[in-house]
Amino acid sequence: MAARPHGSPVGAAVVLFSHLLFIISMAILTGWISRRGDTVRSGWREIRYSAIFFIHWSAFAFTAYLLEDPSGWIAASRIGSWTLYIESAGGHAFLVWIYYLVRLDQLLSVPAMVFLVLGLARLLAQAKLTPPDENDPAGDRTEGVREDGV
Amino acid sequence: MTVTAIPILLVDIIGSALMIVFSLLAIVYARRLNQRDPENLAGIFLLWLSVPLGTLFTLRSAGYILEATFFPAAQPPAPEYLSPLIDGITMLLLVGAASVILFFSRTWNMFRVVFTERNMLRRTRKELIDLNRTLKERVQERTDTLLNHEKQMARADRLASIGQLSSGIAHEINNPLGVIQGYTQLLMRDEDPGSQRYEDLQVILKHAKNCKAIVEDLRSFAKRSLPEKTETSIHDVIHDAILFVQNRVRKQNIRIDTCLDDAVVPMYMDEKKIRQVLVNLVMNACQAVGENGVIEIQTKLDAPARQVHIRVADDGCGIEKKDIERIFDPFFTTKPTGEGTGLGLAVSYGIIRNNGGEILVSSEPGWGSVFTVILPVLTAGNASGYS
Ligand SMILES: Nc1ncnc2c1ncn2[C@@H]1O[C@H](COP(=O)(O)OP(=O)(O)OP(=O)(O)O)[C@@H](O)[C@H]1O
Ligand SMILES: [Mg+2]
Repeated sequence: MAARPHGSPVGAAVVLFSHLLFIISMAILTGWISRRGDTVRSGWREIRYSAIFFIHWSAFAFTAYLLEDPSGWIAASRIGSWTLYIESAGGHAFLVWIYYLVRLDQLLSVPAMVFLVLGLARLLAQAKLTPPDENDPAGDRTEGVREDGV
Repeated sequence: MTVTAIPILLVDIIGSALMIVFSLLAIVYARRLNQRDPENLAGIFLLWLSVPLGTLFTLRSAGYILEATFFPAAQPPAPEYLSPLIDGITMLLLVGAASVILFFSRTWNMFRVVFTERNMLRRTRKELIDLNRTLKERVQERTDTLLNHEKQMARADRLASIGQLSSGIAHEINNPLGVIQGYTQLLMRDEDPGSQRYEDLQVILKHAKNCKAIVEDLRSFAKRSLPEKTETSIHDVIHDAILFVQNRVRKQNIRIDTCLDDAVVPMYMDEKKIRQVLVNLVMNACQAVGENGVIEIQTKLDAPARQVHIRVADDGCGIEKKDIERIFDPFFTTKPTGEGTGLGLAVSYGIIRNNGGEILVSSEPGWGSVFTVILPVLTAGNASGYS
């Protein structure tokens, strides 16, 4: 599904760059969460897993897009309902299989989103246990520096 | 190369459906989290992150499902504008989610400080407002305590001079009274018990004895003698006093509750005199509550000050504001003649002061009165001193 053939070259470049940016930001998020020591806390741990899955999803989508659109290494079209005709420019069979694999990107995006939902649900459950005014203003209880001293 | 599209199609269709569900769920949860505490930075971040992500995948998945339903097998081909449109939206939302992460990861600590500071400011402001509101009351309270202290001192002064006066009188009257008593008894010896004269002499003797009792009371109000201290449990003394009073007011159906602090251990005090004080206080309370009243006796140890507080509270008639100054004066009474001499509190005051303690009163007319006796805790080591 990630493959969206027939875009313009400029559009393709922009999409690729946005994928790159997305990957970088998600990597920052994973690092940031683990640096804050949040990996041990349920909720944030799941969100970190989600970010890791999103990185891989984005890499898959990126590859599928790259193979297909600006490079034209792969041309794919459906024949009938149940078959796919995939042709690689140089006749490289492995490119075809890589393309086939990365087209299954939903196998990564679904768990990513599931982990995000799980993380949010955990955080929500925790928030219900503590009344709002007792929460750390930044929702950041692990660092132990609470200037307000409550 | 021709390959089967079934795995891709299956993954795409099922995945798209699941993605729509979970994307919307993520947005809903993030929103709830944010609504629970709109000022929680983590909540704000997660909402801002979940919205572009959720939207991105909902749109993509919906687009795919639409495409698969309306343009299966690319026959007829999907319209030209569809793919740039989807690319554009994808790009926008990817960049959006990325920016949120970049923005928050850079500014998180700054935000934290700002939020913490703001919360502190808020709390301080609230405290200030509270303080401001209660300031008047506090000033009033302080003024009241000051006034109270002043009154207490004035009372102590007055009672001291009354004490001097009455001890003088008591001394002067005590001897003649003894003479009257002695001679009356002498005369009675010569008379027939049952004769008129004998009965008359008995009346004289009875009244002389009454006078002697009053003089004795007056003396114990004024006397500054060294109390006879023994190690006694104040709780035993309280029980004795209650028993004594209860025997005398059985008809009134008065409930006397006690709430005694176990931390109060036996200590050195003038047991007989202290019992007299407690009897006086409990007796007064019984007279104040009338029928079916409730009296509560409480003890409490004030360890840092080395004092025991004995509190006798009743729900009786209370004491008028104008009288409260004078209730410790000898012969001040509001009771009809014959029922009260007005010496009970005066004597109690003298005894407590002689034991180095203090006796305080607070009363609300119509609601009841509270008498508090404060006694110093004396142990074997420091039992000799008295003030
Ligand atoms: N618990 C009380 N409730 C209301 N008024 C009280 C209470 N205790 C004392 N008083 C008031 O203080 C006055 C003085 O009390 P005090 O014990 O000195 O004398 P008395 O009770 O009148 O007489 P006596 O105790 O000598 O028999 C009382 O007449 C009464 O008006
Ligand atoms: Mg009395």
